[in-house]
Amino acid sequence: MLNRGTLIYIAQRVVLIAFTVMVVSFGVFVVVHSLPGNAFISDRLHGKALQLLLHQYGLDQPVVIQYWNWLKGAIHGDLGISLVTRGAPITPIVLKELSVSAMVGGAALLVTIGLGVTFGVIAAIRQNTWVDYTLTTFAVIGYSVPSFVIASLGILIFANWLNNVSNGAFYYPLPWQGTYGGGGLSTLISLSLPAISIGLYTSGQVTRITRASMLEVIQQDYIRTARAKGLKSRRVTVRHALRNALVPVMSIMPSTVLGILTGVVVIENIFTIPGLGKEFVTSITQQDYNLTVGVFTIYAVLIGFANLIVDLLYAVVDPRIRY
Amino acid sequence: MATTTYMPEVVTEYAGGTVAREQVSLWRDGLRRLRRNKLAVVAMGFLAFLAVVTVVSLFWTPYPPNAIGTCQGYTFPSPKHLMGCDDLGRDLLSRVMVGSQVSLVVGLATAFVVLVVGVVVGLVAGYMRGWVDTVISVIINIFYGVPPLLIAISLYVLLGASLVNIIIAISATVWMDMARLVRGQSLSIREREFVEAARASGTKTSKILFAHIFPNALGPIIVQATFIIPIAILTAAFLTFLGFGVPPPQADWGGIASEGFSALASGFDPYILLFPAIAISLTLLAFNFFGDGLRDAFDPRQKR
Amino acid sequence: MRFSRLKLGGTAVGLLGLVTVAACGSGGGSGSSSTSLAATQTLKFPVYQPPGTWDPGEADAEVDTELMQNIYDNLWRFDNNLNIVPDIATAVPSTSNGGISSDGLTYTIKLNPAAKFNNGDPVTCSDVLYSWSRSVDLQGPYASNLSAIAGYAAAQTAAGAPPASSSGASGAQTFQGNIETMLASQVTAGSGSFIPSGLSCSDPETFVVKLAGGCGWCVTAWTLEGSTGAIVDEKAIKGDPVNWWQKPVTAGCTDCMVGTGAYYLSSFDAKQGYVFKAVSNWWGSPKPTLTEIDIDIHDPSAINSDVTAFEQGHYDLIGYGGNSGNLTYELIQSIKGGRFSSDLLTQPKGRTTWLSFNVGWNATGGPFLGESAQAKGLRKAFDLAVDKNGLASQVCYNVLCSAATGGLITKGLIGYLGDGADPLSQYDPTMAKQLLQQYDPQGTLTANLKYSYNTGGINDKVAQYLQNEWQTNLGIHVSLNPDSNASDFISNRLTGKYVMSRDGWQFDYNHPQDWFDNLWGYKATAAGSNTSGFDDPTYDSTLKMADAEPLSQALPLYNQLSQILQQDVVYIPLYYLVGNFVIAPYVKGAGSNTAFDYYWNNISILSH
Repeated sequence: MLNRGTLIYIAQRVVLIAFTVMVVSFGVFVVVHSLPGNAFISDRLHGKALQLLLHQYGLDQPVVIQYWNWLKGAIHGDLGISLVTRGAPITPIVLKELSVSAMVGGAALLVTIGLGVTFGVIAAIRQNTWVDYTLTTFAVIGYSVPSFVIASLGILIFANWLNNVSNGAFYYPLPWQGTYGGGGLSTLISLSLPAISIGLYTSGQVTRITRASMLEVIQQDYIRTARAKGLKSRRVTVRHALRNALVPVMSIMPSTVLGILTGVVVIENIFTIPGLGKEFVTSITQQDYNLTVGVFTIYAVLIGFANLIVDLLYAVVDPRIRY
Repeated sequence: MATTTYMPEVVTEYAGGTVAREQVSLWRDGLRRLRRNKLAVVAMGFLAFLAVVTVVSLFWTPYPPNAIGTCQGYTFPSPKHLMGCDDLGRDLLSRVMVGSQVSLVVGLATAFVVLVVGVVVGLVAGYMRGWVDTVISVIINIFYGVPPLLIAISLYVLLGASLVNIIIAISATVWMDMARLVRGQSLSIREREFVEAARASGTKTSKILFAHIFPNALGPIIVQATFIIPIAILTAAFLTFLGFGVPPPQADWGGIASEGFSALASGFDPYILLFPAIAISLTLLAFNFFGDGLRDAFDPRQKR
Repeated sequence: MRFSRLKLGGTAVGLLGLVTVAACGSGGGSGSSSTSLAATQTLKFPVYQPPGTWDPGEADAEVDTELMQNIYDNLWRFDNNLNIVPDIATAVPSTSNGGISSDGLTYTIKLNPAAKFNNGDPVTCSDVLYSWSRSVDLQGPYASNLSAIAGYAAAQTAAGAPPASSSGASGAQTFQGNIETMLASQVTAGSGSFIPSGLSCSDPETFVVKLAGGCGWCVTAWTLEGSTGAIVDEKAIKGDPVNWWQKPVTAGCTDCMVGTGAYYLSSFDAKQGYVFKAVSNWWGSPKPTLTEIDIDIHDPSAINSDVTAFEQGHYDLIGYGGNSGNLTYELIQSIKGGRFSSDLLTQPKGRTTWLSFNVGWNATGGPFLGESAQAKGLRKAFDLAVDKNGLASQVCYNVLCSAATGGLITKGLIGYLGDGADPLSQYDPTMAKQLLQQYDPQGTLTANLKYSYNTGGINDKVAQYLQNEWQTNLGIHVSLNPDSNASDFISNRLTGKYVMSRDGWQFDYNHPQDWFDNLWGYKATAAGSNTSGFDDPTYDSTLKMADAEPLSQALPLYNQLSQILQQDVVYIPLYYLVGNFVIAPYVKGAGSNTAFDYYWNNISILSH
């Protein structure tokens, strides 16, 4: 597997990722630093006092020099300090938030693939029956209904109607913060609604691709041969067809990953889940420059490596592909 | 979000391009296929209805959509106010009607901007090849390397609250799909005989691009543009839902839904959220079904 | 709630919480009659803003000062009724008790020999000298509270700007580090360029302050807690002059958050929360009963979850830490309709919101600029067209705010003019229309007007309400200019880049000087905070006289200032903020006044 060619390919991709991350972080750095105002200004803090503070934090220097200073730290894993909570180091903050987002995103990915592949396979096997039509229509509905609508529906049903313990105020446990206790089963339960809200959207595309590629594979000779040999249709499908049908599914994974990340941003803000997406919206409105840049940087790294892994898996699933 | 992002580059080869009659029959075939697709026809019907509502809302709504105090705040739906009233006592039906303007304008304008930008960038990259293509491809890949919503929010915050800026912000996140598609088409079509003939006879590059290559790639481009509309509407809804919307008092569905959500989350009745949520979901469904129908009809080689 | 119930089933503590709260709640909310203390004395609540800085010399935000009043002491403090009472000083200085000299310029302040830092060191005069000088040198947002002290400006010049070699955070180290090094040696010597000449120690327990001129507001300003008058420990700061305030206290630490208050910082996480613990054998009184204060940092949108968490016993109160404006109307209605209605506490806050006209920025002002009859008439027309009571009822449902009818200074504070006393609070659409016809018959002056505001809270709704009022009563369409970037909004306001703008003030200490110095006239212009650009010689001379007099003589003068602003129609009064809290019945001694939340050392948890 890991022959010389593959290693060279990986090295090339890593260089490309590093380049992308640098361009992205520079672009965001310039954008946030060119926003009017800053994190410090208030009714009391302006004029000379503000200038002093900007100078103290090196914010009165040219943006390029500030970026260079930031980059020097970032290479060593130091993403700078927060300006809202003055002096607090960013790296531990975003890493903690990343772990939260990863949990939500991971759960959403499971929902996406689980639902998408299952529905796609069933629809293909029952091609042109009502099952097929229902599932394909459901797939379109999945990516047509915005995640905040699904999330609201979930809250309405689970919080307001089924469990009206208090005066109806919506209570969503935040086990990530350790705020209300939690952990274990409660984490799983509280993950389910966000994960489904995100996953329904992204699973629609997966359903369609799985169905289409399954249909193509089923028509192919070796499946027909296997069937002719008397193997039962369902086992044939699962054993032979699915593996080959998954190749096109892999090809849309980068798009799925982007879709999930976007969903996570929205859902975190709806459920006030303290992850990267929530942090991004908060930090950009509060002009906590380093946090905004830090979140972008982490996303860029994440997407870069996610795509690399998908491409490598591609080669594993489909032996014809070599790097 | 970008559902078609990273789709395998399916290069649809059209039969001709040189013979006009052949193209006409292709279009006629496509229209016939589209008419037979029941879902697509229903979707078109809804979209026509939506267009009518939008036009009507420009001139007439049951109540002035921004007038505060036409009714008590949080009035439940009744015959007088079919969708009830929002927290400031504004008629919700009027506001949902007016909200369709924002969605449609954002959807169509974004599709148009993306069409122009994507086609130009894609044609140039595919036809020029070489370093131009490399640079454009790298830029496209960089845009794919960041969640689109973050780019849109950053641009919105940078540019300020306005409808035009929302369109710019969203366009910046969806132009890549179109550019990639057109690039692929352009790469393959440029090798065809009639293009080579044009080149040999000394036709200008710009004329080759827009008179020869572009018309032959039109089918997939239109299909792609149709799918950009719902993506743009959805992104706009996300933006406004998160508080990065059009300046008040202009009503938009994402904004109303956001108000409704906070009421719902504090235990109030869900109707304020319900109506814009239904409106936005139906609109997106219609555009997606219509787009599917269009693709099946005019782009038959592309697999569903 | 399905989730929460399952979750509670999984954790015994949570289940216990639900059962016990249900028991309390079913008591009809009459409160627990029990007076015995609970075994665990931990107070748990959320705040909705991350800390900015807890360095009293630099602090700015209310969320920070509300916490720090429990960590640091000033020479005096405000009691729950906003009276000034001794804290580290033994008396509040006055001419009658000899604390203030007969010319009013020298203050002699005896320190309490019992006062101790929570690392055990006694508080001596040199600590006070160090703390106040440091606040002057740092030139933070509240340094001006000390500005009447002789030699104030000279000390700031000596401390200077940070050296230009700064890069990143190290620049901060240099500037503040420089102050620490220089100041420490100068305090030991008793004087130096970094120490204002008016500050000195006549003996280790007597602090002497000399003023440059008469000052009727100084003691009040110096008493403002968590701010420039607070006493800090040089030993604790020197190890990390910049970030010492976010470092939990450990035995013998030389770079941590040492104060003299009843509580000390025990753990700190910039995004999640922090824990304060009671100082054992604290020198002051009353001795703390709560042993631990557990604070979570949440996003404001988490308020819905937090209220339910409160109802299930995870939180003891909500609204502390300057966050009493976070409960939405919908949420308050929900609570009122349920069995926790008696836990709601409504407390008007010392915050007024008004609309400022651009009256003095010649480069950017619109039709409202200047003192001509026309400009004043148009301002008056826009003012009279707004129904202030309607705003309070339609936007605030008379729950989140009340109409500002008694002047700029909030009801309940010194300088409040009385209900309905502000002529600008009137609503007279007929008169408004007349004025508009008189001064802008063509409608050309008032075309293309914009109202600028920062988004968030009820600001959007207020803006839409105002727009609707002007449209209805004047027939003028004013477009809205919302800014989701609050700092951009503030800087535009401070530089006059607006025509009409949301404006407001949260009072710092209970003295009219806090309003009239900081917002209009020559002092505000010099400080760069005169947002309206209002400039009037009578205002300036009256202000100068008022500031120098003791409060009783000054109050009529301050009222004259109010009248000047009203006659000139500098503002449209909008509303006074009302704070809303939920406090569990078993939390004894918790509450709030117009300025701040009651001190933690007055609170105890009853058994429940």
